[in-house]
Amino acid sequence: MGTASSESLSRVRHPSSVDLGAIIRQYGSYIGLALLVIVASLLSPAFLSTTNVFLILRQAAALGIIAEGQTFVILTGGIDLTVGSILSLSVVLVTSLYKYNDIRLVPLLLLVIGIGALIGVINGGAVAWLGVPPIVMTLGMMTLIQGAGLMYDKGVPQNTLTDTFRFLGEGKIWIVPIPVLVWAVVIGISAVLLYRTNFGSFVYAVGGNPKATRLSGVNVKLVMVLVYVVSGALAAIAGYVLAARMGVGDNWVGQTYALDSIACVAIGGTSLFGGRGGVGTTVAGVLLLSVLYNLLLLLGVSYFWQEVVKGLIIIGGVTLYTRRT
Amino acid sequence: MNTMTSAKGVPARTRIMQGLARHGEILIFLLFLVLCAVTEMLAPEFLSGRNIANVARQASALGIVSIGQTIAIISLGIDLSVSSVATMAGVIAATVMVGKTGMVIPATLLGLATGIVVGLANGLLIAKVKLPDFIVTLATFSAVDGLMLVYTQGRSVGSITPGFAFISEGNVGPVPTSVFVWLGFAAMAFVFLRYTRLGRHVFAVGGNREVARLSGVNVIWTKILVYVLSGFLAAAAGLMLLARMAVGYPLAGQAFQLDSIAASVVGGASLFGGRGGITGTIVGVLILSVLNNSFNLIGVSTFSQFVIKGFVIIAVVAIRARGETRK
Amino acid sequence: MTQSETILEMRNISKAFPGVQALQDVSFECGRGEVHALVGENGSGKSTLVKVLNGAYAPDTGSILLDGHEVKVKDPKQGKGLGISTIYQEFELEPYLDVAENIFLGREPTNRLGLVDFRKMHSEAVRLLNEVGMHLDVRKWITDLSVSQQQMVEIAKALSFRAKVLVMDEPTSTLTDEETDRLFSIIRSLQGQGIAVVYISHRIKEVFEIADRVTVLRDGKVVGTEMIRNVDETALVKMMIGRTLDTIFPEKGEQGGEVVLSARHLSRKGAFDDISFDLQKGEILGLSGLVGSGRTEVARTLFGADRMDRGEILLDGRAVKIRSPRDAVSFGLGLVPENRREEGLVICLSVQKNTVLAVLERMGRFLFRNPRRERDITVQLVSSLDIKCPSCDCEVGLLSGGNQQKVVLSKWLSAPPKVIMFDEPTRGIDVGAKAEIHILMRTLANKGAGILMISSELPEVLGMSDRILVMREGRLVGDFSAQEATEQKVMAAATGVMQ
Repeated sequence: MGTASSESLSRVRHPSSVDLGAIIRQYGSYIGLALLVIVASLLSPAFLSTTNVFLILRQAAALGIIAEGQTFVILTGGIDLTVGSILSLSVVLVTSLYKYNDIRLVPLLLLVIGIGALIGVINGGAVAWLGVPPIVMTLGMMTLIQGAGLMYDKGVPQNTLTDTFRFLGEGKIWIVPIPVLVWAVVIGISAVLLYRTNFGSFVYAVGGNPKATRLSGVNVKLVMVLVYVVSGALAAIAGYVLAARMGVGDNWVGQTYALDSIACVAIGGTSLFGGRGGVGTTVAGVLLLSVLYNLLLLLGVSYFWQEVVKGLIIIGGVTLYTRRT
Repeated sequence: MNTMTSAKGVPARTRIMQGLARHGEILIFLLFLVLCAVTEMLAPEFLSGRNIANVARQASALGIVSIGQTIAIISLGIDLSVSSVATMAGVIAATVMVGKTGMVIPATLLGLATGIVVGLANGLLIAKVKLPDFIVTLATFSAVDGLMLVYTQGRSVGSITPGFAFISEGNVGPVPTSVFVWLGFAAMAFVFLRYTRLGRHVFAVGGNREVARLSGVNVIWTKILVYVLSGFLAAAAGLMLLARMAVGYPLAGQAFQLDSIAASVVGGASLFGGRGGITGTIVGVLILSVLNNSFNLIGVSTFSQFVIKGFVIIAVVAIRARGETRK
Repeated sequence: MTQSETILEMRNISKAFPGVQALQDVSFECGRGEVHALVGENGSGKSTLVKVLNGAYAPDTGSILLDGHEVKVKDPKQGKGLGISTIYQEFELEPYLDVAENIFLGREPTNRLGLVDFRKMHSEAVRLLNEVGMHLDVRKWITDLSVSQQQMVEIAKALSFRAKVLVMDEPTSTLTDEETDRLFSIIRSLQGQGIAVVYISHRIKEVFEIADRVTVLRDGKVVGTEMIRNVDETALVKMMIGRTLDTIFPEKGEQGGEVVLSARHLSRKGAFDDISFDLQKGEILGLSGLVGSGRTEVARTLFGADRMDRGEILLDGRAVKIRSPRDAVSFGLGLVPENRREEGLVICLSVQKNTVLAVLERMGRFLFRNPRRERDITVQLVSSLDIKCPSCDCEVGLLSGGNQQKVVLSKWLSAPPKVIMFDEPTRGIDVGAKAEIHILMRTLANKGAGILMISSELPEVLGMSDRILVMREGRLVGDFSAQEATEQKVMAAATGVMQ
């Protein structure tokens, strides 16, 4: 005689039934991107020109790099609002310490990555060990880091540009702009990290069910810290790349990146509750957002509309992908 | 984040925690007094009549928006859109008023209405569509912020009448009028939270949503109301800011986002829901305002202020989180 | 019991779920002011009957009569309104509201101004509590009360709904003797008010102390209903467990292997005390006891999921420190938790991803995956465990309970495990899968693993175990070999009944 347990009796779906939700989540952003590109090219003839396409890509690079890091954090069910401040800090540090000295290029990169990672340790540590909600922790840290950057250069941006440095930001290898190349490399590394390492499997598991993951012998706390380290390090790299493009230190340059990166991850289909999603769809999300911004630009719409669009897209995307239980 | 129920029943807390909870408000009030004392020592002009009035005026706007934030936090939510709602209310009111006395009332009503509308949108998306609260309010924050920038093109707009300015800049006796407005809202919120059914339901929803639902509390409408209130109060705070600044400014409410959360948490509201109160938040607002003021008087650079404030907020939240999630 | 005294009648209730007949033609009645105990093993249908009564489930056939009138209870809320209140083991209380507010949540009394009338609410709450001899400070928060006091609040809540029938599900599982006595005097007061109490408990002694009548359920059917004065404890236990063992269990193994795991004086305040035992290689050690006796806590502590205040764990004779599940896994331990959906599996991930989750840790932490090896491992395990799924990438949440349980087990089988602990391994699983899991357990034991099996199902405990330990209220109270153990002895030890 079998026992009637409510757990075995509820929510039994047929394994062979089509999970529409999962399909939308996986391909929705690519389809959306394709549609948007079609619409954009119809609305503006300049859209599909080579110059414009590369402009979009070049400008999307920094955001793309940050969004990959944000994906890791969101996959574990967290959120990282510090990425924008880390980017700004990175820009400020690089432009002020570079001092026309090419030898410093590599050490500087390592320095900012180190700082970004350290901030990630603090973020992740508080979330994992103290139980501070990520939204509030990273909100507070965001302010703190912004202040740190301002204290550092007293709000006075530094100007620094040498040919080598400028090349990093403006140059190309073959026809591919270097920032885009860096972005591609980051995508590659993120994909490897997420899909080809055990760490990546743990990220999904922690986001899906931290309790069961812990009972499987995984160091859940360490995973949670590491995702913020990844996010922080990538934000720093994005800052480095941006510094090369801009040539000038700007304390406020990173302001929009936190929310933008979350938007890209969300509209890409990654669930904000964790456990579902990936780095590929985030790329689609980044392109979607960037194309949208670009379209607004081409159509002569005020720059300020970007924020409005961003907010609406986040809501639309999250609603679309929300699983109705 | 339900850490309260275990296998059987609800775990009792240790004596220390009980004491802290009961007397927490006294503790932070003491902290406030210490802060004032230290500031007075470092900057003797702190306790001058003019400075106190100044601090009081600045605290009032933050105080009003923090009331709404506290209510949201008690219900196990959070409202990140308060800064742009405040900005929007100010901008719209300033635009409609354009210095004409006859337009003061319509402008005020319109400003408050926009807060209610955004709050309603937040509430519906969070309670009915069941999207996460921080994402929804983050998104509305962005959308509204953008709208304001589009509309103002980054410049200040509109103007107010001297009559309108009075609600912030005036005095009744030695006390700034803004304080009366603030305390008026605070008193109403106090009564609401402590003495009305809906107010008690806000606590119930935040404490244990399932139990609330099983007891017949309409969780969805309670949550919607919470965000409507938060939006309304954010708008009111924005109008208070407008009275101070005399023009609608697209970045007016910027500080509210973080500060309102900080004030609420410092004041005893728990980010895990179910706990908090207006009196605590008032003290939290005072602490933050005195802190800001002390920075200005002592001459701490704006940049260091960011660092210190961020640090203080994290410390407070971390300490509280540690105390609350202890099993 | 004359007709006019009967307040509750459940007639010919049947309830089936897919694959399982939970209740079959069950009739149950309760008189005004009567304490009618409902006893039966795990899976006997007690909780289903309660849920049919209070409206959580709708019966397939049969009817419920309250005060002589037939009622259709649509949901628990309506049930409460009709006078049927239930107090579960997990209380439905708000931690940060006070006693009075909890009692009247959603129905707060208001004064003329429309504001909550706290004075009235508090005095009403006090009155309700006093009615049955309970005394509490009604202004205290729930989280500041003891479990026993929280229970009083639940009772007061039921009174506030003018309950005619009060169902209490294992009310004393976390109470001290004193608190139990207090509860009983409260129940007697309730009786005095004419309220019928349906008292569900495993604790035979208490049943005899408090109940007027007792109904025994077994496998969804009523075995018998007797006046308490007409039975004795032994007879009752016999009614609960007496059956022809029609379930076939795998043949037991040989004894006398080396000791692989030793627990020495494990203690944790509030959970268990002075637990010591040895687990041999190749042995299935059954850990029996009532719900709440501390068995799960012991297993979790052995697995490093929870801390212990005192005690030592030895593996292969060596003392080891197990401070986290990671440590346990690295030592070759595995745990199949009680609640597979919440603690055993990541529901949204695939079979493969779940299967290799524990393995990855052992294979070298955060290093590169070997998808081919993962696939091979999964395929092999799926086939050897006979897990029925369309593919290895199938979402594990879609599988049946039995197959899900197999996936949980598969986590530990990619390398020969030293020790596997099972917590209620076949709960909620159909008969066929149950047998499969039993065979798997025995096979593992035969291959040299030490198996610790926590189970509340007596036939399973007796049929599978080479040796049986019994826990009661956090202590080890019984140690039987397979030969000497009988259902009677085990149940007696678990419930504390004197032989």
